[in-house]
Amino acid sequence: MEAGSYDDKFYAAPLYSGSRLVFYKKDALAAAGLSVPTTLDEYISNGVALADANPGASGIWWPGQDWYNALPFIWENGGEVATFEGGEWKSQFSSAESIAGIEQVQEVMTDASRAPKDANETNPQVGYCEGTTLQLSAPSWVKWSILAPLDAETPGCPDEEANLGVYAMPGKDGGAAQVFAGGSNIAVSAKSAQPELAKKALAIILSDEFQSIYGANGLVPAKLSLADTLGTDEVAVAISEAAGAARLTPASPKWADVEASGALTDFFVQVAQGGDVTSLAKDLDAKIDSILNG
Amino acid sequence: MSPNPSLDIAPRDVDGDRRIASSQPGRQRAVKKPRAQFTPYSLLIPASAVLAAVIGWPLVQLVIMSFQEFGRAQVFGAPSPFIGFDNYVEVLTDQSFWLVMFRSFAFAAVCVTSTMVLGTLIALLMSELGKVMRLILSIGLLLAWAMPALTATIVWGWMFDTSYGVVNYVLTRWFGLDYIGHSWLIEPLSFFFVAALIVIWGAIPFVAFTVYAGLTQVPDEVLEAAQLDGAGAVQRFRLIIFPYLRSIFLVVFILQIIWDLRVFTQIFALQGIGGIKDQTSTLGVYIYQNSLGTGEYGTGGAIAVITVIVITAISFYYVRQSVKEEEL
Repeated sequence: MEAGSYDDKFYAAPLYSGSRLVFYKKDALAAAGLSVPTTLDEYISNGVALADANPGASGIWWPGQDWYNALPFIWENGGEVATFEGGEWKSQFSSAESIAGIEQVQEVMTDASRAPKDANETNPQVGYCEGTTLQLSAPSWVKWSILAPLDAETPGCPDEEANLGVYAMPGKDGGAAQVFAGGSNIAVSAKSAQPELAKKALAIILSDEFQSIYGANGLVPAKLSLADTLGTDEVAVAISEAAGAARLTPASPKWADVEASGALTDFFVQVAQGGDVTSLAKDLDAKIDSILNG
Repeated sequence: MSPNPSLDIAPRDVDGDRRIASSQPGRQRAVKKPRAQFTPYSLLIPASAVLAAVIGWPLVQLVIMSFQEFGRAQVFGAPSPFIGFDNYVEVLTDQSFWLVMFRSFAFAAVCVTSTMVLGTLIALLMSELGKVMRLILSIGLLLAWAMPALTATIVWGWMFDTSYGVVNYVLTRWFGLDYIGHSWLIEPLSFFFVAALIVIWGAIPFVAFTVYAGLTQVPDEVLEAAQLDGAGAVQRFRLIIFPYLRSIFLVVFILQIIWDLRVFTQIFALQGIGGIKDQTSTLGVYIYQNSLGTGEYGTGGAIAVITVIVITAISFYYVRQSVKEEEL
């Protein structure tokens, strides 16, 4: 992955990342006569079928503000978030490919999800443990939120462990979908008072020994060679599948501004409400263009 | 009046006897005069120093920044050239700024009016209540006043939660309305209804306590005399209590306008819970989105300076108005 580079210059080393996985209730999927999907289309139709078979429950839980989960749909349909051409960023949400993906997003949000159209994605374990969320796509560590002990500060439902299934979101043509890789990079500050010490610390942090600790705890280590430290259980397999196809948001210094502006959450909240995808996407592109090139 | 203008300013002017005494020439007065003038002003020094450091200096920085090109690069040390009124032109020609401005004023108008009316009614209630009930009411008001705005917003947000909120539950279960999964924040008007509820709830205690304190200063005999002359409750409030408390009402009113026009925490936190930011931003949040959010500190500064000017102008207008009325 190209994390940490901009303009062909290397700025910061990858530290670790967490991929998004799909968590599901094994019994619910079985009761509806469905199996783990192998294509994106099947993933969507499964979600809709689950919601239809269980009134009031979400076949795929998807609150409107959660835009990270929309990225695989755009990427799998050949769309992009933004491209860099001739020294200018061009937001690509209204391209034909992106629109196709966003229309699928809208289908899931309206037909498969019973989550609030304008809520954020915090505390996904609540609906899962309550039984109103049958599937959800979330970062890999959400497993520990779901299985948190009952007396924890934010309790989960540890008795669901056997029933908790997990798979990597499938791509359009099978295989793992290109999902969003959330994670962190690390670098030595240009104005560091102790650059030598900082570099030594960086070497320790990127050492096999240190990185293995990330792997053992379900986070994807920075080095491909350490992939086996993730373990071999179901989650670990799903993580390595998803991580191999994971992608990033545009490598623009101003991308953080786009996220902070709230334009993306506003957009997907309106998509979740059933708004007109094409005209909304055009407005969004105009906003993102002005931020990235402003 | 004294022919010496400096005497009119000095505090001992208030006392007629002392003025006569001190206007007699003598050594004692010559020594006392400078000290007496200096003391009241010296008491202002600590507060002024704090205000200058905490509010004055950032304000100066803000004004300077609003005339500069100041983005993320400038935060990291790039030069920030002066660009005249460019930031102001950009802000004032942006339609979304005027929408935000209109929204803020409408929201503040509703909040200020409701807070003043309800706060005054509660103050009147407090003066009628017995000791025990008044104590209970005071404690309740104090708790609301002591609650940090962010905590309050999160709790109110839970009550209006789409999936698990008690409001939807009660409306559905007890009143037979279909509020299952109803989102209170997705429609801008409904969003501002919830936001106003939180803001008004948090502001009422201040108004109620202040007005109640003022009510205790209205002489009972005047009210009694008016009652004997046949004045009803409304007349007594309008013709006796209100004129007595005019200056208190004015100060509270201006403070409420300032607070509600620049409201930030409640709106910002609610936008995180739900709703569409673009349709629900008020001035405070809009400044944040432009400066810290998108890194346009220059334009954000310009919006902030415009807000300061507008709020100062409103406060100045009301203060002048009241000074004029007192002079009549």
